Amino acid sequence: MSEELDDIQAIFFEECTEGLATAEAGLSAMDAGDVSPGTIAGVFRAVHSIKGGAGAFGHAALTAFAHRFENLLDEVRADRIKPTPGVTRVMLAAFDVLSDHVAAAQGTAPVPADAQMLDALEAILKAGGAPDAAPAAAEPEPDPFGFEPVAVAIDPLEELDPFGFEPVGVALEELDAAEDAGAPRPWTVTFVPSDAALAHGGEPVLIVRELELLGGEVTAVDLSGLPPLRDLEPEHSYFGWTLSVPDNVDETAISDCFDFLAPSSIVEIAREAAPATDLPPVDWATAAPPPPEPPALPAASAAPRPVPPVLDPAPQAAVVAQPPRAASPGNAEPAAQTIRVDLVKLDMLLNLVGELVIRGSILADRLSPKDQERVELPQLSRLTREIQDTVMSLRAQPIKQAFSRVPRMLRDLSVETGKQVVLETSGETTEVDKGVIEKIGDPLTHMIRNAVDHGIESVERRLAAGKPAEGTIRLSAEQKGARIFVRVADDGGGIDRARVRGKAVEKGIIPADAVLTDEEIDQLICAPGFSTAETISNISGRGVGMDVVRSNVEALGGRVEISSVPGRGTTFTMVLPLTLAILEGMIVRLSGQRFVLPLANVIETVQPEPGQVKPTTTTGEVIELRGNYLPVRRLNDTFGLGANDRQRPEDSLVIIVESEGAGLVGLMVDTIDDRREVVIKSLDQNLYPIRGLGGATILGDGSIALILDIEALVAPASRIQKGLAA
Amino acid sequence: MITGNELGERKIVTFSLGQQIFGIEMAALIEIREWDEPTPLPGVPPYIKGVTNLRGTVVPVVGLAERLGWAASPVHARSCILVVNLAGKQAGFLVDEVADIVLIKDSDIRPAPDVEIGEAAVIKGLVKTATREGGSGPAGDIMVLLLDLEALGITRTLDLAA
Amino acid sequence: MSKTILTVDDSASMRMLLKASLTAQGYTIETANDGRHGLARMDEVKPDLLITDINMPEMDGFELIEAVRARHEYRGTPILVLSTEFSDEKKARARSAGATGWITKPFDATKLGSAIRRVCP
Repeated sequence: MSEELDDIQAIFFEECTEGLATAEAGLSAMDAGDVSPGTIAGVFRAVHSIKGGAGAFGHAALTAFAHRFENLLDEVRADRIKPTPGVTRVMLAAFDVLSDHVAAAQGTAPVPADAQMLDALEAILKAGGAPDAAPAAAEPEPDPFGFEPVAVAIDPLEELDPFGFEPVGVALEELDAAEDAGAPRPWTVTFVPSDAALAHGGEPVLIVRELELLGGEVTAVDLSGLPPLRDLEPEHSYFGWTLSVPDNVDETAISDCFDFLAPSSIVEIAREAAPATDLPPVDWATAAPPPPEPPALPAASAAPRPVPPVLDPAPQAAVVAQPPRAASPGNAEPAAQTIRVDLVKLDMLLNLVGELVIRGSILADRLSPKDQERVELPQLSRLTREIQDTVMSLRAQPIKQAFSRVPRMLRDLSVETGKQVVLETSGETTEVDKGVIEKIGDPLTHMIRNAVDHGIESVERRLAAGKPAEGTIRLSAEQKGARIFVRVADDGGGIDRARVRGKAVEKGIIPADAVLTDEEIDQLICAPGFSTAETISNISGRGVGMDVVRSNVEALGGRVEISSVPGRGTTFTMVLPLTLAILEGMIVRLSGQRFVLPLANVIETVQPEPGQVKPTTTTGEVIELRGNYLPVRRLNDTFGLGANDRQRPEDSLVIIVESEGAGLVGLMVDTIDDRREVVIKSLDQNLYPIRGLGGATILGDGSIALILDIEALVAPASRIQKGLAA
Repeated sequence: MITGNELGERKIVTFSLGQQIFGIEMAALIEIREWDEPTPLPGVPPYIKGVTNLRGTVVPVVGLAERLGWAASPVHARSCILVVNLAGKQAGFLVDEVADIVLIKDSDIRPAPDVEIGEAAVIKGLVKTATREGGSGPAGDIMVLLLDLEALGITRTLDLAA
Repeated sequence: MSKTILTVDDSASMRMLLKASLTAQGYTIETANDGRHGLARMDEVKPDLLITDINMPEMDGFELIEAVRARHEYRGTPILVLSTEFSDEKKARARSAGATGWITKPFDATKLGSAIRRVCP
C-alpha cells in the first residue's frame, strides 16, 4: 500500500504546484488592486486544498502553517478582515513561507522557520486588520478540537506528531484512568433518538449496531413512545434503547457513535454505579420486535483486501482537458472532464504522428496525381493533419504559466534596486511544450533580473536622458514556424560595449587585440567566467550568470540572441524549438541538393528574362519586378555550393519572399521540385543551431533536406559572410 | 562517466582509425551503420561531414580522424559509422573498420602515453587486450586507446578570431 | 454485493486516497471532481452513500447536498461531509442542507469505516 500512497502523494504534490501558482497569481492580483470575491476565494481554495492534503499525508509543519494562513484567508473572504495593502503584503510573505513548506514536505528544501510569520498572521487575526509594527508574540488560542497546529506554535522543539491517526481523545482516556478507582465498571448507555433522527438518511438502529460491534448489548428497549399502527409515521423514530457496554471500551468510542445524531436526541453515557450484576431484562423488552436482520458486516473486520494500483506509477503527468460529454438528461451542464496522461506516452504518440506524416509524403511521392485522387490521398492527409494538431495541443500549454511569477519578481526587484519598472506582456497564450515551460523559468528569472539590474537606469539618469522615470520591460512570446521566440526587452541604456569588452580582456576571455563585431561583444556576456560571482539573490535563488542561462537554453535545443542599442535598450531573445511541427514548404534544389523553403513567406516565383537580374555597385544583385528593384540572394553562394557552375539567372528561378528584416527579397535557386508538407526535425537536438537553417526534414525516400530560415538568409550580405554558423 | 559493473569490468568496442586501435564504451553505443553519404551542412567545421537519418532522427556525422586533428579517413567498403549517445545527444563517428567487442577490467587500464593526438584530453587511458580467435583485428596482444566520448562532443565554440 | 459510495472532492489526490482506503474496506467507490459532476453521477451510479467535500469551485458541498435532497428518490440516502473545516456554524449549515453526518479531515481509516457503518446499513 505504501507504494500506492507514494503515487497518490506524488499527485498531491502536483496539485500543490498548481495550487501555489493559483494562489500566487491571485495574491499578485490582490496586490495590484483586484480584491474581488472571486479572486480571494480562489486563493482561499488553493491554500485550503494544500492544507487538506498535507494533513492526509502527515506533513505536520505544512499543515500547521497552511491552517493559520487559511484562517486569515477565510476571514478576508468572509469580509471580516479587509484586504488592505498591509494585509496583502503579509499574505504575500506568508505565501513564500508556504511555498517553502511545500518544498520541505517534498524533501527538496529544509523546513522553513515560520514562527515569525505565524505570529504576524496571528496578529492580524487578533487585530482584525493590518498588523502593528511589532508582531505580537501571541499565545496561540487553545483549539477546542485538539487540532495539533497549536502544539507547533507553543513549543517548536517538541517532536511533531504525525497527523490524522492519533485519536483526539487522548486527554479523555487519561481522565478515565484517573477517575476509575477500583474495579472498572461497564457503561450504561441510554439512547432516545429524536423524531427527526430518521431524516436526511439517518438510521438510529445503525448506531445501536455499532455499539453492539463494540461489545455492547441491548438491555432494554423503551417502547413507550410507540403509537397505534394507524398513527405510525414511517419516518419518525419512536424507540429508545438502553445498552450495556463493556468497561474496557473508551468513552470516546461510545460517544463517537453518536456523532451524527440529530439535535434533541437524548444520549446518556455513564458508568454503572451499582455493583455489576446482570441487568434485569425488562419484560416488555423481549416483546419488542428484534432489530432487523443485520446485513453482512463489511470486510473491515477482516484483513484489508489487497488494493489494485490506482494509476500507472508515472512520476510525471500532464493534465489534458477533454471535451465535455453529454450529461444525463435534465441535469446541470456537464463539467469539462480532465484526465492525467503519462508524458512518456504522449511523446511516443507525437513521434508516431510524425512518422504518419512522412508516410503520407512517401505516398504522395510515389503515386501519380491521378492515383492520388483515386486512393483519396488528400483526405488521408487532412485526417493526418488533424491528428497531428490534436496531439500537439495535448502537450502544449500556454506559456502564461512561465510568466506568472514575473510581476511579483519585478515588484520585489523594484523595491530592492529603487528603480521603477513597468511590465508589459504579450503572447501569453502562445502554446509551448510543457517541458519547455518547466525549464525556461530560471533563465527567464535571470534575464529579468539582468534587465532591472543592468538594463534599466536609475530614475535620475533616465530623466536626464529625457526618458520617462519608469523603465519598461516587455516580455513576449511568439511562435514562428518551428521556433518559439521568448523576448525580454528593456528600454534601458543598452549594453555598455566598451565596458564588456574591457572586462572580457581582463578575465582573459579574449586577447587584448581581438577585433569583434558588436554582436560578438554582446555575446561575451554569456561567456563562461564572464560574470563575477554574482550575489546569490533571493529572486534567482542561486549565484548564476548569463552563461548558465545560455547553457540552460541550449540544453533545451535553443539559443540566446542579444540585440542592443546604446541608450535605447537591450533585447534578450530565447529561441526555442517546438518538439514537432509541420511546415508547408517548397522543395528547391541548389547544386543538386534539396532544401525546403517555407511556403508561408513565398509571394511568387519568377523565371527571369535575360537582363532582368542586374548587378549593383558592390557584390549585390537586384531583380527588376514591375518597376521595383528587389535585392537578390544567390542561395548557392550563401551556402557555398556549386562554386564552379555559376548558373545564369535565366536558367534559374527567383523566388520572391516577404521577410521581416528586409522586406521583399528574391532568392535564387536552381530548380523547384514541388510543394509538400514536411515534418520539421530539429537540428539543435543533436547538433547546434546553424544560422540560415530552421531545421531539417526527412523526405519520402529517407534522405534529408535542410529547411531554410528566410530571415537569416535575407540579412545583409556582410553578416552572412561572417560565417553561417551562429 | 565510466560505468563498469560490480566486478570492475566493462565492455568496449574496438575499431581502427589510421594506424591506431581505439575503444569506446559499449554502453554509449547505439548502433553501427554502414557508411552512407550524409547530407552536407553549410557553415560547420570540416570534421562535421553532414547529417544522416537515423530512424527518423537527424544525427550529425563526424569524421573522427579530422576531429582528432588528423587527415581525413578514406571511405571504403568496411568503413562504418558508430552511432553513440553523448549526454543525451546522438552523433555518428566515421571510423575505418570496427574490430571487436572486448571485455576488459578496470584495473587493466593504464594512463595514456604521449600519442600524436590533437586534443590529448580525449584519451582516457590505455589497455592491453588479447584478440579472440577469429576476431577481425590484428592477431596477438593489442594496445587500445580508450576514447573519452564526451570530450569529443561537438560543442559549439565561440569563434572570436576575425 | 458490496455497497457503492460516491465520493466528491476537487482534489485528485484526496479522491484517490479515499478510494484506496474505502476499497480496502470492501466498498465500491465512484468519484466525481466537483458538485455539478457529483450531481450527475448520483443518477448514473445511485450510490448507497454520498461523501462530499465542502470547498469546491462552482458548486460547493452545501449546494450539492441541497440539490441532492431536493430529489425525492434521494431523500433517504445518507450523506456524509468530509472536510478539513469543523466550525459549528458549518456543521449546522450542513445539517440544515440535509447532511446526515460530518467527518473531519484528516481522517482515520478505521473511524471513517465506523462512521460509514453508522449511516449506511
